Amino acid sequence: MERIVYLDNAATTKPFDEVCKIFCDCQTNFYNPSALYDVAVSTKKKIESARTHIAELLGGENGRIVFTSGATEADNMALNIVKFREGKDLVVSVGEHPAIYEKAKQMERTGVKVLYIPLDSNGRVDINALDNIITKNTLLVSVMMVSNETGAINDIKSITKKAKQINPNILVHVDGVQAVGKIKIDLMDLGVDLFTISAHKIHGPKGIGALWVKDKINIVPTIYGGGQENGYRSGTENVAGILAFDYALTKVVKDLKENLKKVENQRNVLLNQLNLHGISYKLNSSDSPYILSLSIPGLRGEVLVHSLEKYKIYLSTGSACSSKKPDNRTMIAIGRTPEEIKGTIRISFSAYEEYDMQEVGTTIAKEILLLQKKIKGIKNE
Amino acid sequence: MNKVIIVRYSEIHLKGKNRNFFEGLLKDNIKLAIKKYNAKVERIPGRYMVYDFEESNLQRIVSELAKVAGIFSYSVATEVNSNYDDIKDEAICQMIECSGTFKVDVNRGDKKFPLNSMELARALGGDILKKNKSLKVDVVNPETKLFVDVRENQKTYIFSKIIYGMGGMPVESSGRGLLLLSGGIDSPVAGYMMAKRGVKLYAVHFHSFPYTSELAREKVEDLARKLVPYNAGNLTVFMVNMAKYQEAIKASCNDSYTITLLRRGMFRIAEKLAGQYKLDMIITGENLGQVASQTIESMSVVENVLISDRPVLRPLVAFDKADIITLSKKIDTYDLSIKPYEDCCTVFLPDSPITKPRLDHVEEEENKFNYHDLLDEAFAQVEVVKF
Repeated sequence: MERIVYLDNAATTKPFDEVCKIFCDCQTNFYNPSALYDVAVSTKKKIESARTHIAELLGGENGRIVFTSGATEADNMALNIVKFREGKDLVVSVGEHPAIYEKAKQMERTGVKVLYIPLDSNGRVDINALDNIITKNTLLVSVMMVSNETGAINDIKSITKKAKQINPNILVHVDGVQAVGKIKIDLMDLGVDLFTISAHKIHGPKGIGALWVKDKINIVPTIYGGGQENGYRSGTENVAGILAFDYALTKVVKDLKENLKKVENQRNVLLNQLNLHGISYKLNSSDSPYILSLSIPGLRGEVLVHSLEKYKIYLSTGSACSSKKPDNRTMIAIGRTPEEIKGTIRISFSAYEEYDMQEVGTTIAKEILLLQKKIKGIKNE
Repeated sequence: MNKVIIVRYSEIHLKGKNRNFFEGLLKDNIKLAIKKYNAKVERIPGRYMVYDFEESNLQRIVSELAKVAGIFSYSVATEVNSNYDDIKDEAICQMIECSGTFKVDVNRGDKKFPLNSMELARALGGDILKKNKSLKVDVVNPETKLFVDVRENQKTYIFSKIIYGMGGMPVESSGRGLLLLSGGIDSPVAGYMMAKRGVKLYAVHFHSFPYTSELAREKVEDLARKLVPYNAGNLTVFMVNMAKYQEAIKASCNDSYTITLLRRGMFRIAEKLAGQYKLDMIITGENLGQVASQTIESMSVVENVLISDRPVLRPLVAFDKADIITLSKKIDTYDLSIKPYEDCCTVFLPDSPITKPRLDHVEEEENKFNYHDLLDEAFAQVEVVKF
């Protein structure tokens, strides 16, 4: 197999050709959007039109987009909005991306009370548990829409509804990084207050993300300076990033239904090959076809990743093989054993790349069987 | 007024007829260490002089010299013309911010200088006291000593601070050794210790790709780079893949002997490398009793595979872990070593490795597979990386 088979699209995606073109164009049309002359003003206008357009694509006309360096910054910004004080708390799920989870841990160290929502065995946020966790004292709850590790999809609408029933003043933040362009998003309908998105997971460029903020919610700036982004996030705008982000989002939203079919097909053909070769596994979620997370007994995910390099097949693990104690909290939360966590792999698809999945699936299956044999050590005696 | 660095060596003065060799070697090592700064290094009786460099590089050169084995101490001195006024001005300049007790220590190499040592010291002391009222002379036990070295080239060197070097012996004065470099805390420290005693290091790293990751290899490369300045400016690392050998052990032998057999394989390959590259010793970071493979029984059963009379040196054998960690922090390898990538992946680690292996049992296990061929294959594919 000469061609690269890239199956790690949950980590990042290949930028669209047009995205690269926009990037090049912006090097010629390089003006600082804050300047006063005509060419700069026209750049500023393009940014503002992208800002409005992105909000519309997400069904978020009742809010505004604040561009950031990426989703991590947007997630951090969201948690910084609330001024925590004695007796008030923050609620996050245990399956959150480190951009939320580690930020929450840091806040905990500074004295903020943080409560964690468990996951059910399907990897989804346990909605029933919300009754005991969210109270009148909860200021903000943050839950991801699609798990980057398992592909589990959380019912954001129900979670938001329930949270607001218990406490009408609560703010709901959603990390939508793995959801955007893959499932339909209507922010107004979902009823959320804050929503994080990223460009490079949808074939856009790296270095650009955004936080959508519902009207009348004030953001606390963490970066001060020239007052860009309405003073919420200073720093000269990433013009190329913003325009390319808008392009990529427009395309994936337009292609959404068709993409879903393609990806479902890729996933099913691949999974079928593993079944045909008799690979036993635990499926960690069957929610999003974009992410296929499998726990395979007697395998080390990291070893498989390296062995597949020779075929130019690139995928991801659930947990580093080298860590003596598997510390993957998402996998622990859904009840996987340390052995299963070590043997977890993540295959993530894109509708914009087409491969002979039958062949790819066969190669992966054969390699798994070979490694299982070597790791187990079939005794000669 | 130029800055120069006066470098003093340790222990070389103990050498008799070989002194010239040691002095030459240390000069070469100093040159290698500061090669990129285009400084000149000159041997003068009993010491070296580093000069003719951009003054903006002074601090960089000073920190490189701290990693050159064989240097006892060094001082940054100011060079002035040998006339009283110039000497006096610089002496006052260096002492103006001092307080407490001081003494002027004169060495007069240039016997034509009009004042003798005592007279010059007294005159300078008097002039310094006039300018800095917070100083007091104490010739017996001064807090600050100002050194004035009047040399035969009509130049005088003035300094007051002494920086202590790492001591030890010039690298390669004690032969060449092959260090077993894992990604752990101990082996880089072991390498440092031996380099300090004058051993020119070569290193061998055993990995088991695809069971170990590219990141583990990068970590070892980073560790190697940290050792380069202690090893006279370069380090050759041999990368050996043990995956097939490990797979065969897993398939054929009793699990509890996995590590013993792996280490025997490593020693066999190390010995072959040492032979090929004419290295005089094998160096490990082993530390008595630290883990199962480091009991005296394990060490002896592993060392037993060596057929040549090359010694295995274990500079850390009697150290406490805490002391090793302190040293690894000193040489700045600790933060790299604790990165969580292992050299031989946990995938082949037995649950209960044998702590007191018996040679006859080990050999019995070893004969269950064709270790010769597998080791030959690994040896044939050795990758040589130069840093």
